[in-house]
Formats: sequence, structure tokens, C-alpha cells
Amino acid sequence: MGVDVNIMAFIKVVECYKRYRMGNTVIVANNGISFEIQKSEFVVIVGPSGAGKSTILNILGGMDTCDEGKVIVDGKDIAKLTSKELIKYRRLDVGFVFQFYNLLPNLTALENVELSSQIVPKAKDANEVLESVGLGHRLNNFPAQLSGGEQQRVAVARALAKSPKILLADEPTGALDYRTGKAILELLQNTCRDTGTTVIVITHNQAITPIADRVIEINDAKVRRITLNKHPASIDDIEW
Amino acid sequence: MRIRALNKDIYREFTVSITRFLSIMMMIALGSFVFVGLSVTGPTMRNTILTYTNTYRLGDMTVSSPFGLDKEDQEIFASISGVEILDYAYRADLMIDDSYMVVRIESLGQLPGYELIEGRLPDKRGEIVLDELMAEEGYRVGDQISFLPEKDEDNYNLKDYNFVIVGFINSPEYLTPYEKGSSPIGTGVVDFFGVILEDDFNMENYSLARLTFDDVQKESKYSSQYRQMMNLHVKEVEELLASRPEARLNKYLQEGNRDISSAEEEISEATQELLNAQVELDDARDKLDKAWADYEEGKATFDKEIEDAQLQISKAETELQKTKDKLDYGYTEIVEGEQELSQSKAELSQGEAQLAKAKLQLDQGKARLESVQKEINQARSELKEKMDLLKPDESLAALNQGIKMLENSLTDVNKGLNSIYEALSQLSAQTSFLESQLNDVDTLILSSNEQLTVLMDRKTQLELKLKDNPRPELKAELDNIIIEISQIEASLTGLQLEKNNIIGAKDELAGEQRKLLESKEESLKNKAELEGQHKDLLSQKEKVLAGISQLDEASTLLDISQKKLDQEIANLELKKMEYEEGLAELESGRRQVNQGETQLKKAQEDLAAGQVEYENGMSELKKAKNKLASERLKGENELEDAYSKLLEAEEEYEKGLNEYLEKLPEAREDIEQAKKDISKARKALEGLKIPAYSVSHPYKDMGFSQYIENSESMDLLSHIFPVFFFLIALLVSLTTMTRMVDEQRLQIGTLKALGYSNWAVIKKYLIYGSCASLIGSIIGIIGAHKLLMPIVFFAYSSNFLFKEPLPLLPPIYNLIAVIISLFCTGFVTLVTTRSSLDNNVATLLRPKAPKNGNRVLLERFTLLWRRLSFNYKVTARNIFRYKKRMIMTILGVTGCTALIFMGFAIRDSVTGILGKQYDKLFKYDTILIINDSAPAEDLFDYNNLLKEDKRIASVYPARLEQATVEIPDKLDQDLSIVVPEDEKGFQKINPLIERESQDEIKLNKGAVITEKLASLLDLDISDRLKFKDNDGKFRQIEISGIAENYAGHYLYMTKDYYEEIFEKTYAKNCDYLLLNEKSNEATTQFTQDMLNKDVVLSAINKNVSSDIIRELMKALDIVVLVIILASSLLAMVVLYNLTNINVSERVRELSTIMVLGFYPQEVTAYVYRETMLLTAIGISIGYGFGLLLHDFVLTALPPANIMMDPAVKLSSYILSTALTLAFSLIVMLITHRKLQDIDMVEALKAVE
Repeated sequence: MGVDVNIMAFIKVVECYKRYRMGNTVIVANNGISFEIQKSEFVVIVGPSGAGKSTILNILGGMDTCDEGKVIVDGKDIAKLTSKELIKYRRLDVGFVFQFYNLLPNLTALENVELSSQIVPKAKDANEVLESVGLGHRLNNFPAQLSGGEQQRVAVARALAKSPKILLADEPTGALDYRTGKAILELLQNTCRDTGTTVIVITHNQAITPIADRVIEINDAKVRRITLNKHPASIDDIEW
Repeated sequence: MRIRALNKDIYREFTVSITRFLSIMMMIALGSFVFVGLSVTGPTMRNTILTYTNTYRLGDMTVSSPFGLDKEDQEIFASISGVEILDYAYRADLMIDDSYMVVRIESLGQLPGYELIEGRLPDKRGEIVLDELMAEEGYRVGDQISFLPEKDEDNYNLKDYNFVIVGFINSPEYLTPYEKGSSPIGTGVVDFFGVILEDDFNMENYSLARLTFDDVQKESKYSSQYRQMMNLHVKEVEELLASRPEARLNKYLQEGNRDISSAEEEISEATQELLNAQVELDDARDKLDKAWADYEEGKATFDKEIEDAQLQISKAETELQKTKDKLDYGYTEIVEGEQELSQSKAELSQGEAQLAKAKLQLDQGKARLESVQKEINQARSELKEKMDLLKPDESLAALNQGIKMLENSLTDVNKGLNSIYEALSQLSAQTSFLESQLNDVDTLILSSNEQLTVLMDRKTQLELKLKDNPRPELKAELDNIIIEISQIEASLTGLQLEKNNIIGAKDELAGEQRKLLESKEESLKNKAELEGQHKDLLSQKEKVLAGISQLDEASTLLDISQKKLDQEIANLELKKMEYEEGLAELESGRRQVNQGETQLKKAQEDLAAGQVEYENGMSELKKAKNKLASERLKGENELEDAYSKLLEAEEEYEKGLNEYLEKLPEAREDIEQAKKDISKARKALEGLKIPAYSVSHPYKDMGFSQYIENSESMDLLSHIFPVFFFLIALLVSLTTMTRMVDEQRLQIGTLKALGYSNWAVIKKYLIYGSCASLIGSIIGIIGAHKLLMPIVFFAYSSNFLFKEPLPLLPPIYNLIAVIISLFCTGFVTLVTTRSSLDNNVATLLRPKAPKNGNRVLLERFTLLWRRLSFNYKVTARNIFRYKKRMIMTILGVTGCTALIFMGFAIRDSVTGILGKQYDKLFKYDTILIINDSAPAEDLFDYNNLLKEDKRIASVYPARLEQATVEIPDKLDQDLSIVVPEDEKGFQKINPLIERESQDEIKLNKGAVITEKLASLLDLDISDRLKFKDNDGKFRQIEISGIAENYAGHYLYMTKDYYEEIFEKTYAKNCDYLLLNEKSNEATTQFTQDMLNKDVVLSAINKNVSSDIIRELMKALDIVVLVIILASSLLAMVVLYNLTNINVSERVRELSTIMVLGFYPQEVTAYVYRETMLLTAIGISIGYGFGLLLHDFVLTALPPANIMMDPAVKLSSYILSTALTLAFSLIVMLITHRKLQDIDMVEALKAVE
């Protein structure tokens, strides 16, 4: 799309703080986190449980706000948005893939995709998207009739159907077996490559990092390291 | 010790899920509230009324008869078996002196015991206790109260009508203070009651008997045993009294007839006595009159005798007087005669002197007259001379002749003049003719000259032309002209000649005229001369005439003087004769004087003899007078004695007469009155009906039975509503508890894994649920007792005496409520928890597999399914996914809508009674019931009155009879039989309509009965209705129609059919009236006026009847309001609870769509759309249930004589929907708020 990636980052998080009050104690989830992500990058944010990576995801996904700092997405500081504007941001700009898929159980695969496509004006055709994730033959199956991988594919299709600016995936392989997990990662990578969507995957699994364009390591509520892979590895090459 | 942590957990659970706890509690509270409230009201009402009637000893039976109860009756009562108390009482309806309110006065006895509000009961005569209502009217203890004595009766019911108020009371016999029954006086309604001592009554028979029975004392008056026993007692008493009415009637007839005949005897006796008195008086009068006559006669003879004597005396006296007068006269005559004689003598000598003087005068007169005669004669000769000289006749004739001649010549001259004038006028006529001829000639000459000039000019022209151009034609013309000219010239010469002739003639004429004028002049001169001569002659004639008249005058004067002279000569002759007469008279006078002197002497001698005779008469007269005086004195004394005796007798008679007259009108009046009374009594006897003995017991009393019926209808309501409430509450708390257990599945698993016993685990939920139930039910029970029951109680008791509810203890219903509540939560919890616990720990620790989506039936209709928007597809799937909740929601909404709807519908039905009964069906204003056996003239007067009264708009006569119909398992129902005189007119004020089709029903053979009666007996057209008529006879009648009617039971039939069925002739006994002024006051005033007429027995005012229904409406309105409020609250709680469960079950799903970027409205709609749909379904089913409930209530709730209007207004459908939808919306708003608070991140993180 001819955006000059060097001049301006697509996502820029600057000195982001997030604190939770739990009774009398204050838990600092994000303690001055800063990083940048370029458009169409495949990013993996990695860190152990409780490192604050989910908080980052929530903030990036418009589900949460940070107490201090800036979160600029495509030139817009979402840290300053009202809750209504946040909903709009989630609706139009963000696609989510959850660890437990979170498909609506009483909707078929197609209907689950339609659930998100029908609220977005520039949405893709639900059928096509499902076709593209390889589920063209299971359109009218209910989640309960699908395997975990298939469910996660539906979830990815649901996220993609919106043509989001960012696709956020929270432990997408966490509930899946090895092979299926790999297939999902491949799907995400391909999506990034083929559609130019910025994909951010959050995981505790260090094994995944080689396939990313950019790896952001978070530990103890702070960014510890940001690695750029000039040549990310193929998914087939990694193992865990 | 070990389970302390667990207890803490239980305790925390309350605080954590407080809304759930509260909603369960609320539902249970509502359920208990309605259940206990409604269940307790009926028994409380009954307990109140039974306690009251027991405390104040309401008798088990009351027997009364319009004739009172006589000795035989009392014997019968004494023979009744099992009687505990037998108490007789007097009763009389009286009007308060100044307000015309009707007070029913009874005598104080053992029964009933009165509730003393203030003061004390009466303990001596002249004291009264009054109805508590009268205290409200402003009467006070110590006040005086007086009643109007009965107007017609001669034997008054009370000994005295003035009382002192000593207290105020209520009576168990008047449970409804404002409806004390009807009275034959005043406005026809008993307003108050009062109690006095038996001694104050003056009545022959007791009015009523009150009884209590030994065997029923142990039984509650509400028990069926009581009713059964009482039925037996009533039957027994009725049987014992069965023969009494006829016997009483016969006795009354006999007594009446006896009374009448004895009264008649009395009358005839009284009449006889009157007659006797009259006869005696008449006798006395006769005697008196005779005595008077005797007295008068005696007095007359005495007077006559005296008069005669006096007459004789006075006769003698007059005679004596006459004699004396004559004597006196004799004396005076003698004196007078002497005087006359001397006077005559003097007169005689005077006459002699006068005569001598007259003789001298006569001689002198004669000499003067002779000289005058001489003078006259001389003058006459002189006159004659002058006459001869004048010769007047000759000169006059000559003058006349001359005058005549002159007049003749004057006529001739005038004649000549006239002929001259004639000739002159002829001449001038001729002259003018000649002049006109001359003129004509001149004109002819002139025109000829002109022609000539023209011709001459032409001629010269022609000649000139001819000179230049000698043409033959011109020449010819010229020649012609020349000829013409010569012709004209010739005629001109002729004309000139003629002219000259004329001028000559004219001149001749002028000469002649001149001559004539000369002769005229001459004649005129002649004439003037003649006229001068004529004048002279006339003046001469006048002079001659004047001379003649002078001579005549002188002659006349002479004649007059001669006449005077002749008269004087005659006068002188007359005087001479007088003188000679005087001489003769004088001579006779002298003779008379001599004669008188001799007569006088004789008279003096006669007088002396008369004097002696007179004196003798005088002495005799004196003697007679003395005798008369003594005789008279004696007679007068005797008469006086007789007179005074007569006066005494007269006085006595007068006294007797006055007495008689004084007493006569009274006696007559008395007799008249007695006669009237007798005829009245006779008529009354003829009109006497068989006296009905009414045997009454509490269930026949309006107040008692109505209240019991009301309490039973409350029982009925308490059977319907709480069931609904509890059912819904049970279902909802079941769902809630199930959800709770489901939610805490993991925790249960953990606890079990930790080694806690099943009991320990269950305990938590059991305690949670039971607490909610217990607290809820206690709140509900308290509310029910303190709020609902009193509200309903007072609504139903507003017409009654009861001032506070007496709840029935022990509170069995409370216990039931608690048990049911505990069952709803505790038992349900136990069951659901148990089913969870049956799983093994591992299964429990794993999340319960979420309910899977499924295709719904709807999807099979692909066409329809595709049309649905995505959102609706989701909704449809969700509804069928959670089937249990779907059913719950529908049931909850259905129940609430049904209850609310039914509430409104009952209101419609009750309001409908009033509107339809009293506006659409009963259009008349009042009914006057009249005594059809009243005297015909009274009825006639009454009918006239109806025609004349301006307040009446129209009159519809009819016959109205009361009958009773036995209804299985219910009270006997009163039936009014209406037989209109004119059906067409009657239908205008009381239309008979078939309710469903709204068709008019025509009366024909058969009877039209009203709907409620038909439904009570399950009768249809052409079935037969059995009823008991006024005389206690059972009759059957065929039904030909069923009419719309809401209050009371009516039977309508035609006159002919009536006569056929009742076997008697038709006569009207009431009038349905339409009034011009329909206000309450006007109608009351009117009926009060009408009730003053003897013919009018009572009046039924539509207003009054509708007021009774209005009261019932008020009571029901409150109950309905409570139902609607409670149902509304329940609807809210149910919807809220179910939605809450819905949300909590699907929090993950909702979080997902929130994360996907659904707007808040979209999220709420996502959950609530299905609730709305289910609500809609629930509402429509609710109508069905509501209608069923309404139908049930309609047949079961109203008293047997009232039919509720089955029609439900559209507004009730709308209102119940609107209310339910409104609650749904309120719950939606609450849910909307709640959804905002969902922490989507947390929800998503959690593992199911």
C-alpha cells in the first residue's frame, strides 16, 4: 500500500503504564512499556505468565485503557478514546482470536463469521473467508461439531472477515495440539503475508518466536528485548 | 471447627449474590402475601360475624306474622321441642316527629343482646336506646325524642310517644346499618331502630318471637350441621304453623264481623237514643206552647175586661166633657152674640154716611161727560169739510193713465231702436262680405300680374333667342306665350271690372249705414225725453197719496176719543147701581139686629138648665173609676204569677234543647264515623289476605347471608390466586437455584474433592434457599395480616357494623405458606444439588459442557428462515436452546398477564352490571306498589293523581308478584314476577333482550326468565320452571325466552298467560314510572309524597337499588386493585430474575460479542429480544388463561342473585398488555445497565 514504514511506525506504544488495585495492594501490569510495530508485520509478544502481555493485548485491542502513556494505532492515540470510541475501534479496526475460540455455540461456523462481518461495512464475504481458511465444507456445522483446530479456524475467519487493521491472537495455540497449533500459526502467517494485515500473536511459547518478523519479549511488566528477524523461519522448521 | 470455613463461605454467599437472594425472597413474600392474605380474609370475616352474633345472642329463629302472634300461636311455640330460649317482642315502625325518618321500635327482651355503644339500656318506662347511627345523626344521651302517633288507628301501638334517650346500641339483627329493610311508612325504608321496655307498648299481640335451640348451641353457625339442624327446626315450626294462617284469617274474619255487627248495634242504639231525646224535647215544647197560649188567652180576656170598663168610663167622661163643652160653648156664644149685635149697629150708621157721599160724586161726573161729547162732535164736522175739498180719487186716476201712456210710447221707441241695430249689423255683415270678395279679386289680379311678368320675361328671352337662332320650336313656344299673355291680359281686364263693381256696392252700403245711424240718434233723444216725463208723473202721484194718509189719521184720532168717552159714561152708570144696592142692604141689616136680640135671651135660659145636669154626671163617673182601679190590680197580680211560672218552664226547655243540639252534631258525627269505620273495616276484612307466617333464621337474613357469601367468595379467590403465585414463584426459584448450583459446580467439585460430605455441600444451598423462603414468607405473612387482610376485610365490611377484623387463630394458613415456601426453595435445592452431587468428582471439576447449538424447527422452512435477519435467527436459536427458561418466561408472563387481565376483566364485569342493568335495561325511575284490594274509589283517585302529577313523564302499569325458587345447595332465591299491562310500552322502560344476539324478546305463551336464574337451575327455552307463589303454592311454567339481566331474578309473562297459570283475573298492582326530574332528591321527594297515599304500599327507587351494587363494586374494586398490584410486582420480579439468569448463563457469549465491537444497545437487544418475544407469547397465552379465570370467577364469585357482565372491554386487553410490556421494559432497562458492567476481559479469560 506504499506506506513508508521507516518514517512512521504503524503501532507505537510509548511509556504505557497499567496498574490494578487488588484490595490494598497495587499490581503494576505494565510498567512503562514502549515499542513500535510496522505495518504488515507478523509480531510475537512473548513472556511468562503474569508478565503483563495480556494487558498489552487488552490495551491494543481496545478492551482496556492504560493509566499513562500513548498507544498510537495508525496515527490515532487509542489511549485517549472514550469507551464508545473504543467500541467503534474494536468493531472496525481489530480482529481477535482467543485461546478458547469463544465461538457462539448456538451459531453455525458461517453464522459465527457473519456475527462479525455483519457489523462492519467493509467486511469480506463470510463464505469466502471460511473457504480461505479451509472450512468451505463445514459452513453449516455448529462449533460442537467441529474439532478444536477447526473451531480456531472459524475464530480466525471471524476475525479476518472484518478486514481489520490489526489481528490480535491471544495464545491461539494454547488449547490445541501440536499439529493443529502449527496449522493455525501457518494460517496466521499466511494471512499476514497474503493480506498485509498486521498480526500480533501473544504467547508464552518461546518456540514460536523464529517465525515472527518482530519479537517483543516482556517480563515483569517491562519490555526486555525487541528482536527483528530479517528472515523469519518457516513454520515447518520450528518445533516445541 | 473444621467447617467454620465452610460456614464463612455460606455467609459470604449471601452478600455476594444478594440480588438473587432478594429476588427469591421477594417472590416467596409475594406468594405468601397473596396466599395468606386472601386465605385468611374469608375465615376472619366469618369469625368476626360469628363472634359478633354469638356475643350478642342472635336468635336462631325469628317468627313473625302481620297480625302478630296470638295466644294459640304462643301455645304452639311453647310446644316446640328443644327450645332453649323463647322470647316474644313487640315491634312498631314510627316516624320521628320532625324528620320523618322511620325508626323501628322493639321491646327489650332476652334476645338479642345488644352491643351497647354508649349509656345504658332502658329500665323504666319512657326511656329508649337508639341505633348507633342516630348518634352519628346528632342525637345525644339525655335528649328527648318524640314520634308521630299512628294516624289512622284508634288503638295506638305505644302508650306514650315521647322518650328520653338513655343509650346507643348496635344489634346483631341489623348487621348492615344502612339497609334495615322495608317499612310500610315514610320513604318505605327503615332508617333506624330503637328499643324500649315492653310496658311502653300498648299492643294486643306480640309482633314476633325469637327462638334459640338447645341442639345447635354446640355448633358454629357456619357449620353445615347448624344449617341442617336449622332446616329441620324450620320445617318443624313451619309445619306446626301450617294451619295457622287460615285459622287466623277465619278468626279475624269472625272477630271482625262480630265487631262490625256489635258496632252496628251500637249505632242503631245511639240513633234510637237520639230519636227518643228528640221526641221528649218535642213533647215539652208542645206543653210549653199550650201553656203559653193559655196565659196569652187569660191575659187577653183580662185586658179586654179592663179595656171595656175603661171604655165605658171614658165614654161617660167624654159625654160629660161634651156636655160641659156645650155649656162652655153656650156661654161664649152668648157673649159673642152680644158683641156682634153692638158691632152691627155701629156698621149700620157708618153705611148711611157713605151712601150720602157717593150720591154727590155721581152727580158731578155726569156733568163733565156731557161737555166732552160736545167737543168731539165739533171736530168731526171740521174733518168732513177738509175731505170734500181734496177729492183724492179723481186726481189719482188721471195720473195713472198718463203714466201708462208714457210707458207705452217708451216701448215703441225701444222697438224702433232694436230694428235699427239689427239693420246695422246686417249692413256690416254685407260690407265685410264685399271686402272679402274684393280681396279675392285683388289676389287674382296680383297673381295674374305675376304670371304676366314671368311670361313677359320668357317672351323677351325667347325673342332674344329667336333673334340669334330662329328655331321653329322656339317660335311655337313664343307664339304660345304670346297667346297666354293675351289671355291673361283679358282676364285681368275682367277682374278689374269686377273690382270696380264691388267697390260701388260697398259705397252704397256705406250710405245706407250712415242714414241708419242718424235715425238711431234721433230715437235715442226721443227716449230720454219720454223717460223725463215719466219720472215727473210718478213724483206727482206720490204727493197725492201722502195727503190722503194725513186725513185718515185725523179721523182715527177722533174715533178713539169717542170710545173713551163712552166707557166713562158706562162706569158712571155702574156706580149708580152700587149706590142703590147699598141702600137696600142697610135696610135688611137693621132687621137682623132686632131678631138677634130676641134669640140671645132664649139661649141664656137653656144654659142654666144644662149646668145642673152636668154636675150630676160627674159624681157618678168618679164612683165607677174607683171600682175599676181595684179590680185591675187584682187581675194584674194573678197574671204576673202565671207568667213567671211559664218563663221558668221555658228556661228548662231551652236548657234541654241546647244540650240536645250541642250533642247532636257530635253524636251524628260519631255515628257517621262509626259507619265509615264499619265500612272500612268491612272492606279491610274483604281485602284480608291469609297472613303469612315468616319463619326466618340467620341464613335468611340479608346481612348475615350476604356477609357469609362474601366471605365464601373470598375463599374462592384465595384458591385461585395464591396457586398461581406460588406456582410461578416455585418455578422461578427452581430455575434460580438450579442456576446457582450450576454456577458453583466447580466449587462443589472442589469441596467434594477436599473430602466434604454431600450434606456439608448441600447445606450451603439449603440454608441459602431456606433463608430466602423463610424471610420472604414471614414478610409476606406479616404483610398479609397487617395489610392485605384488613384492606379486603374493610372493603367487604364497609356496609356492616364490624369495626375491626377478628382473625381466626391458630394461623394454619401461615404454616401452610411457610411450608410451601420452604418446599419451593429448599426441596428444589435439595433435588438439584443432589443430581449434581451424584456425578463423580472428576466430572464436577470439569466444566459442564456448554449447551450445544441445534437446528431449530424453524430452519426447516428455508424460505422463511432466509428472510429472517441474522439477529432473529440467533434469537430463535437461543430460545430453543434454553427450553426450560423459555417455558419459565412464558409461564411467568402468562400468569402475570392472566391475573392482571382477570383483575381488569372483573372490574369490567362489575361495572357492567351497573351500566347495563340500570341504564340499558331498567330505564324506569321508580315503581309504586299499590294495594290492589283498596276501595275502588281510592284506586280511581290514585290513577287520576298519576295523570295529573306533573313530575311524572309516563306511567306503565303492571302486576308485580313475589315468588321463591328453590336452588339446589343454595339459598332460596326471590323471584319477581312481572306482568305488564301493555307489553309494547313496557319494553320501552324494561326491554327484554337476548344477551348474545341482542335481539328483542317478545312475550307470548310461556314466561321469559332472566339469565342468572336460568344458569343457576341450568334451564333452557322450553324447559319448565317450578316456583312457589305468594300463597305458598307451587306452580310450573314453561320458559319461552331468557333475557339479559344482572341484578335479581325476574319472570315476565303476558296477562293472558298469567290468568291461565295463576287461575285468577289480572289486575295491576304497581306502576312503573318515568319521572321528569331524575335526581336522587327529586325521586325521593316524589316517592315520599306518594307513600303518604293509603293506596301506595311501597316504592322501589332505581337509585336505591343501584347504590347497593355500587357498594359491592367498591369492595371488589379494592380486591381487584390488590390483585393487579401483586400481579404486577410478581411480573417484574419474574422477568428480572429470569433475565438475570439468562445474562449470567451467557456472560461469555455476551463478552465475546462485546469484544467483537457490538454497541451496548446491540448487546442488550441480543439478550433481550428473546425475552420480548417470549413476553409477547406469554401475553397472548395470558389472555386465554385470563379469560378462563374470569369465566370461573364470574360464575363463582357473585352472589346468587347477581350476574356479572361477561363482556370484557377492549381497554382491559390493552391495559393488561401495556402493563406487562411496561414491566418488561423496566426490566430491560435494568438489564441494560447491568450489561454495561460486565468485565469482558475477565469473562473471556475464565474457563467454562
